[in-house]
Amino acid sequence: MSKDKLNINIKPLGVLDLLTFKKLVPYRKKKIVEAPANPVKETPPVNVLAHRLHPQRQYMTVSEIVEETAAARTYRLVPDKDSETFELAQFRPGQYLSFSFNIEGSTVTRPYSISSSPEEALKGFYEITVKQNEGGYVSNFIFKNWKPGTAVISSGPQGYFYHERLRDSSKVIGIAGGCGITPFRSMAKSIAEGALDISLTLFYGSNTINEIIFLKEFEELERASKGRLKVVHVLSEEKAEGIEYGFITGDLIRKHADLNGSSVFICGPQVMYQFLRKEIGSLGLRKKDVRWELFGEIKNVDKVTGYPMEKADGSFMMFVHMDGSTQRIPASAGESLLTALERAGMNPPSACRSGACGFCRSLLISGDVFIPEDEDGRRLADKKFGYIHPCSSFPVSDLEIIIPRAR
Amino acid sequence: MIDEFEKALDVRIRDSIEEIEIATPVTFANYTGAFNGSIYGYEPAPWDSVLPRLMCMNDESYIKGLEFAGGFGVRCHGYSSSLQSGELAALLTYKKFMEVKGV
Repeated sequence: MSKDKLNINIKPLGVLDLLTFKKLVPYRKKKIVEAPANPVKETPPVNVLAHRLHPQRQYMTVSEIVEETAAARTYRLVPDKDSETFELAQFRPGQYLSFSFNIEGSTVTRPYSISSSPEEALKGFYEITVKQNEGGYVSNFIFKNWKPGTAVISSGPQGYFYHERLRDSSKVIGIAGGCGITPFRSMAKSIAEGALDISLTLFYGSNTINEIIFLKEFEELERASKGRLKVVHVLSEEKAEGIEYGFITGDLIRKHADLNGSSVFICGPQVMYQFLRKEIGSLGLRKKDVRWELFGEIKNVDKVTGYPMEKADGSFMMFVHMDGSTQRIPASAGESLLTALERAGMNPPSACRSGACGFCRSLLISGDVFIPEDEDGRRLADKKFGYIHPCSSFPVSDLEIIIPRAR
Repeated sequence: MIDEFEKALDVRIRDSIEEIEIATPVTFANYTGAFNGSIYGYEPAPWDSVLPRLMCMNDESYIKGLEFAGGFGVRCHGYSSSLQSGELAALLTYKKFMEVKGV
């Protein structure tokens, strides 16, 4: 076969190629000398977009407050342009914001699900709905201090409690208790607006009819969603016409919804989860079909299976290395390490307060902690090398930890 | 990608996805702050590519003991270049350390 047929043309290394090599260094030096000495001030476009979608901080003001029930209020939040927040980051219905508060000299954080829809964020506002709890440190602070015009600070949208079409069925069963209704309000609004393409059967447990949050609004959303949203109210402390009575049991779910091929989303208080874990277990669903939203720090850790009861009343000392300094602070057995840190006036990073997100991930150098199994969101490697999440770790001895950075 | 995987191997994985997250350059820009989210460096201009950078390496070392590793270093962009530039930085550091020690 001749060279012509193959159509290959191999040139010998010419003098010009060698000259090109020889010129590389002087040409580079010339380009550097010619380059302006001005620093590049423009942020690259992908980094600009990343900042818009995932801002570290969002500065907002309260624009409106709605009394939903005697103990629940919805706060509408708009960008605080004076603090350089000009727009609100987009989110997926079901995500939350981690808010920062300065209470009695301590900086504390709390996650609150966004109860408004992504469409409404585009219009310029978020809403969160807060239920006042007896003894609730932060909810009481919000009820007392947040007024129209109050400046508030949050993270960007966080969390994984949202419908993902590659993972979840388009047929969703929602189970909510008390203030756990808030992410479902966001989903329901998004369904009614035509942005979220799922059908949702929502079971909502309340104590009494007067404690049902968004009762009328969900009726309107059911009508607007044209059959894709169905709400089943369940009351545990009183009977009412047309409303189920008791708890949200497996039988009740079967009565109103088709479990076959459905994804189940659950959001509610800790006590509801304890009950539902047994009920959901009886339904024969796969792990991937059930998503549990985080409910914040575990209360009454001494009631959790496996807790060393002999430590329940203990008071310990914690050596904390953070940002190049070391502090010695007290830590009580019943409180998470994160709470102890915040109580001591320190400002460690945190977001979910449920052991999942890893924002507070720290290295335990010495001492022991109790980590409830349900809130142990650490990777296997972290478990092996002694990393812990202070929001879901409870002291059972004196200890020493390194927190990588302040918030 | 899932469709192609299922077609190529003739298996169905879609029903077994327990968790899925999609990352884009925006995700990397968010977590790392890297230029345009390109964590293994950007494509350099010809005058600033791997050969001229390596050839000028000694002339452009301005702080004694400071070496650069990663996709923005002397070996330029790409996963393997990032890895190799780490090895190079370590060897240079070791060499200079031994020189200071007079070994």
